[in-house]
Amino acid sequence: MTYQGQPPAATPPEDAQAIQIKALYIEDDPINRLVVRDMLGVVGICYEDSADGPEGLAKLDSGEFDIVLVDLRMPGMDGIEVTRQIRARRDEKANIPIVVITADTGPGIQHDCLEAGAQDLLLKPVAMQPLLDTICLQVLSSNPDMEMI
Amino acid sequence: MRDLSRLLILVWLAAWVAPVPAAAVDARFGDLIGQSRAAMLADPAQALRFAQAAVTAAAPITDTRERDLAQAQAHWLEAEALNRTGKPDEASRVAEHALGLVETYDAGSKLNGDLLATIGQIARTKGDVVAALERYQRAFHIFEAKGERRSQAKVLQYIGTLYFEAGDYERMLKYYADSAELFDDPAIRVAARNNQGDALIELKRYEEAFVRYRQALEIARSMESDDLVTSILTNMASAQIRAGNLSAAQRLVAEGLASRGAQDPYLAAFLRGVQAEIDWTRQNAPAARANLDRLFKGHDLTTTNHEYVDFHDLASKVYAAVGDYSTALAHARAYQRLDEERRAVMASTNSALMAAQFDFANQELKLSRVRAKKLESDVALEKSRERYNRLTFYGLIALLLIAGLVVSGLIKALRAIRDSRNEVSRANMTLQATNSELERALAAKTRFLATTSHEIRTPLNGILGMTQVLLCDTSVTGAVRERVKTVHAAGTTMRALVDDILDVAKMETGGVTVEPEITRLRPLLTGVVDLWESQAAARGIAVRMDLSGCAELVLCDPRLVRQITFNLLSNAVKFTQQGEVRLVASSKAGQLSIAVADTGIGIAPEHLEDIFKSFHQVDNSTQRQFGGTGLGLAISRTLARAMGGDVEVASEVGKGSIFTLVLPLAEDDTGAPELAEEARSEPAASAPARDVLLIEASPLGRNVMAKAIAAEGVAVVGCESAEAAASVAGDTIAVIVTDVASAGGWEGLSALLALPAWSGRTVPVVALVQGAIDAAGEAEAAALGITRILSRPMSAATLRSAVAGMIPALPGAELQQGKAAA
Repeated sequence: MTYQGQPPAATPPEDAQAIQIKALYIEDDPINRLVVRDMLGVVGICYEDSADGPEGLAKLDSGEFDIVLVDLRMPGMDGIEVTRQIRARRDEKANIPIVVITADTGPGIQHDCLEAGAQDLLLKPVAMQPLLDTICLQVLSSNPDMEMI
Repeated sequence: MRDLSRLLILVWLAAWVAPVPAAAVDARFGDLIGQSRAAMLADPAQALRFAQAAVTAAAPITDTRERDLAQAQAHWLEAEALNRTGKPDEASRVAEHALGLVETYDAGSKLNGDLLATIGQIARTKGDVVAALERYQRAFHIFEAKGERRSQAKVLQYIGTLYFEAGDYERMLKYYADSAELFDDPAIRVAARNNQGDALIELKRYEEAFVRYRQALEIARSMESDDLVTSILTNMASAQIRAGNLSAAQRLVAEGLASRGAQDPYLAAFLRGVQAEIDWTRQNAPAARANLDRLFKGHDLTTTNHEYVDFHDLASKVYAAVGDYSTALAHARAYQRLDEERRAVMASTNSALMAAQFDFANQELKLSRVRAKKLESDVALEKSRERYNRLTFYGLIALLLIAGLVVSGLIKALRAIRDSRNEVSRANMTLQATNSELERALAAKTRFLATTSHEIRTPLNGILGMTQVLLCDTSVTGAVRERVKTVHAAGTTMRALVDDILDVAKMETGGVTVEPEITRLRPLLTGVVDLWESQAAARGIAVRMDLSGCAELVLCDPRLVRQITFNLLSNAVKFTQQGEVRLVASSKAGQLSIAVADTGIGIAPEHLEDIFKSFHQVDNSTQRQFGGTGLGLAISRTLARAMGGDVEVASEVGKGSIFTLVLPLAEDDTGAPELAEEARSEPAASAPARDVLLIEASPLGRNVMAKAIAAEGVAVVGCESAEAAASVAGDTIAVIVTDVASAGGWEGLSALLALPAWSGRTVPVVALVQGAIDAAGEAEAAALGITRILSRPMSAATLRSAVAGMIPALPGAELQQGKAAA
């Protein structure tokens, strides 16, 4: 699927003085990827995505990110397994904040996600403000002393 | 196979051998009664003649009462005899007549109890175990009230015999043990030992059975009762066959035939039958046949009673073996007839088990009472004993009345159950099939609803996400912006519908979980009202809220309360075209109510309950006019009930409706009283300013900084510029956090601080500058009275601590989410 539109970024990302957050979104549904990309684009959060767990883990390996957003239900490797594998890393990326995004409200889901090492859980459909709030909060909480403001 | 016929039940013997007080109205009458009693067991036909003669003999008695009671006693014997000669219907009529006489003149007398016991026996003969049991109970109660322990013991044996017929030998033994506790004389004991032996044989506990039989035999001999000795020998012989000891059986039959009782043809016949069984087991068919010939001599094979059932079975085999097929066939038919009767008795006896079990428990209670009484009476003086008896008499009558009511209720129920059992079981099978189909269909429907709703949510997500993004884009303006808004609003409505359907699907699978927690009602309800305020305002409807009568903290599931209140407000706003919607929350002892009143179209009384049904709106035109699935109220009520409360409605067409969520509250509903007190004492008007005005051009910067500053009770109002900030300037702002560049430099900041909205107040400022702070900047800041300048980039912790020191301490007020307006 190709997407020709441009994310309506309100703040030019090239502004050197602006706060920089870079998010990685792992999600098999292309529409959801586009929605989150454009939502993050509104406030200027840098964004990359992957359509499945292994690809996402490879991207995390090669790039620098401040937060990982991951879908729970994905064919092959699910969000909980992605979370576990990140937490099992031996470098500082093991501590990256992870937010699981899911439409699944079943009992025990939240517990499973948090136990696997995720910081938070967002329910689909994700509204823009809660998404941004959560990303900011988690990035800040994971680096309270990093000079990012 | 059970052997009723050969294991003679000896209750009758016990009853008839016992001494009975003579009526003594007339010497001849008394003789006849005595003769009838004496003949009852061995020759009931003779006993019948004596009894009928006694009825005639009593006729000349002049005193009506005396005559009727004398005749009743004769009728009682007549009924017994009739029952024993195979005429239970006639016996029943005579006994009921006698019962009528006794209950007229001497209700509650021993004769009354005796008659009830006899009617019970007749009912048992007729296979009506339920009726038999009821009569036994009544008889027992009368005997108990009269202190007739012996008769009580006898009735308990009768009941035990019912269990014998139902094949419940354990319980039969228990009844006999109880019987022995109540009364113990040789006549009762001999019957008990014999019948316990019978039950133990059925339980295949042969050794124990033989012990009981030997005890019975010993007692019978000491009583010098030839009939009893013969009967017990017969039973012992039969038991030995069952235990496989043919030679022992043979010895016992020989002993029985030699006993004086065997001169009675009735008793001798059974010995012949047992002998025939021994012969047959030894494969001596001709000898067996000879004995059976003697057993059945003079009997009409189509009218024999249940005592002969197994002899018929044996005879059908023996006669076939010797080639007498027509006799074999006649016995086979007799066996079939009696076996069917026996099965019917067993079945109906089993159906009476429940009532009897009740009785059993009742009996145990009373037995312990009797035991205690016996001890007391042994040491009591004669005088005090009299008083004691009088007292217990009235006490027991009261008890019996209660027990009697319960028992008769049970018996009625059992009778009805038995009558309809077959139809019910047929109907049940059909019903079960239908039910499981229905359940499958329902489950499929629920699964379908859940799946489709879920599938619809995913693309809807995309639509709503994108419209949100578009509406954030300031370059989208004019007509295009309006169209995007319409798409967004329609999508939001659609999502609410899908959520409703998912909720229903979840509830139908029993998925409502209630998680109560200590909840601050004010912010919760304010939050929900906020959601509807703009929609209501757009239609010219005011939404008012009154929480003055409500506790600040309550124990409830905030998620569910929010959802219900949301639904009620949604309805109120939807169905109100002018006027207002009011939300009033109040709490009083043990109850929280949240009422949502509207000035809408109202609901007619006949529709008031319908509106809570799924997929129901008062009429279709309503749905067209106002939209919605009509699920909201059904969901709300289900959720409310899951919390132990309800949603109630009062309405008047054309005037409006009031929907009230009522929830039970624990008496100590706050869980945190001191906190609640603090919260209540806080006057909203004089709350200190605690909000933070944040000026930062970058939306992401605003978001991140808002998160860094956010604290409980602090609202962060984000603005992109000093100009935008002007509109929020006011009393609630405690501190301004500003990126100096975003605020338009020191000049811009100066203009902001000079606004009249501050009412001359000097608002503290935290100024953020990019990079190192230069001397010129410091001077400008000082000129504006700004002492706090922070250099960017900085950490979240730095910003947080700088701002936190400038916000007044939290007075325990409401919890507010940090609101960062984008």
